[in-house]
Amino acid sequence: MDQLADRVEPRRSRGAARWALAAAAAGALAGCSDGGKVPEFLLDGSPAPSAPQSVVESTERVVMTRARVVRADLADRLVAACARRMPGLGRATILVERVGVSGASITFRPRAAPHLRGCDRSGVPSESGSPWCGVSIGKLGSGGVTDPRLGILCRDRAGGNVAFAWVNPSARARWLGVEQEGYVELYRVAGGLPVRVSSRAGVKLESSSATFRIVEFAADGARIRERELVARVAG
Amino acid sequence: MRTRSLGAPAVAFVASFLLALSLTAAKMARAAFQDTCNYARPQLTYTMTRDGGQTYTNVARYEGYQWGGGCWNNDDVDSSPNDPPQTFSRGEGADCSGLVFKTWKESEHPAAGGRYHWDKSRNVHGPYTAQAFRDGDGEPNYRVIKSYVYVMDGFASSGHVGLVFFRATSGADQIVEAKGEAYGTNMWTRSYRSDSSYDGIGRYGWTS
Repeated sequence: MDQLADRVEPRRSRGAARWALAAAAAGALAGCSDGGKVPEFLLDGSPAPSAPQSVVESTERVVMTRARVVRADLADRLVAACARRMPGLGRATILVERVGVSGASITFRPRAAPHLRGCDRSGVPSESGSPWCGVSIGKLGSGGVTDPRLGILCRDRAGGNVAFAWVNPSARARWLGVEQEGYVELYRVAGGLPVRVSSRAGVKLESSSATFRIVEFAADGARIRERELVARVAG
Repeated sequence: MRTRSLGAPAVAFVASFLLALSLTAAKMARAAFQDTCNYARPQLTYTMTRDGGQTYTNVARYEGYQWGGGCWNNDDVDSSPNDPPQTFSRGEGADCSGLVFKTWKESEHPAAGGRYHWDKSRNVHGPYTAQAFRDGDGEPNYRVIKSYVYVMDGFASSGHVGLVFFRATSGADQIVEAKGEAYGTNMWTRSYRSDSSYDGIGRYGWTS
């Protein structure tokens, strides 16, 4: 897997940022159009970032998710909650935080261990009250995770199941697009780690599986690969 | 009587036919065990006893192990040995969490708490990983203080789960578990109860 040299971002104060986000959200809402529109906001209520122009030129209805490579801050409520559910998340741990439309996640690799760990959330707390409704551990091989470690226990606010899975990007991939219901959710490859994606589409409780239709984009927006990942709960 | 020898085209046809026949035979020999399983609806049941659970897991003993599985027969043989690890190769057996799911008669829907009988030949894994059982995720599942773990309760770590078949006098337990491809599904004496990486787990709704 390509080891992208992501710069670890400094944590910013969330207080002032929340007001800015609320103002932006209000402005965006004022411009609401008719139904069937592409989501404009992410799970945490923040506006979706702008998608890279090179991808937008080739793909319609793209929603950009947010990804940050940061050092774990255990004073952060969400990080601390993940650390309570998933051991190995310490102060010095570099993690990839992702926020999408239907799901958000934290992925980290504890102390160069041969596995990944992560937490998933979908806006509905777990039965225990944790904001993280799912946790996963994935064994790492030469090509990334050996199993996507599908999680389908998370529910969204509408009561639907949200699936989470790790996807191994190919070496040239800069973004992964995951087909949703009516749009493509775009994930930036970050931190040199597999990408934790989420989807409400393609979840099949009867077979404890989920199908992710994935498009990989290079830095210039060129489509590298299209594939269908059928992930099953296991282990 | 004059005889005619086969010409080259005929020889080529026969050779091709035999090759196709051998390839078909080889393919049939590699047919997956899960092709013998089914996807029938589970049977809603109002009783669920711990000794019934023991009987169920006893059938699964000596059968195979399959990542993400599954289903099995009752011939006390791993019908798909040497399956590649952590791969859905559609072989025989359950994995650790799949065995617990079926033994505990759970629903594929995590919010459902009823009891559902899954035949051994029904290919199903369920929505829970070992970690999810450990966390008590899902309506039927909960965490148990380890000293109180009883027969057909279990122990789960972040990567493995097994059920207590009976509690041995030594303080260890006889655990029935789908351990891995190299081990299959069987029963072993384990010290999960005293292992800090394991937590106790249970299932609501035993009727005896």
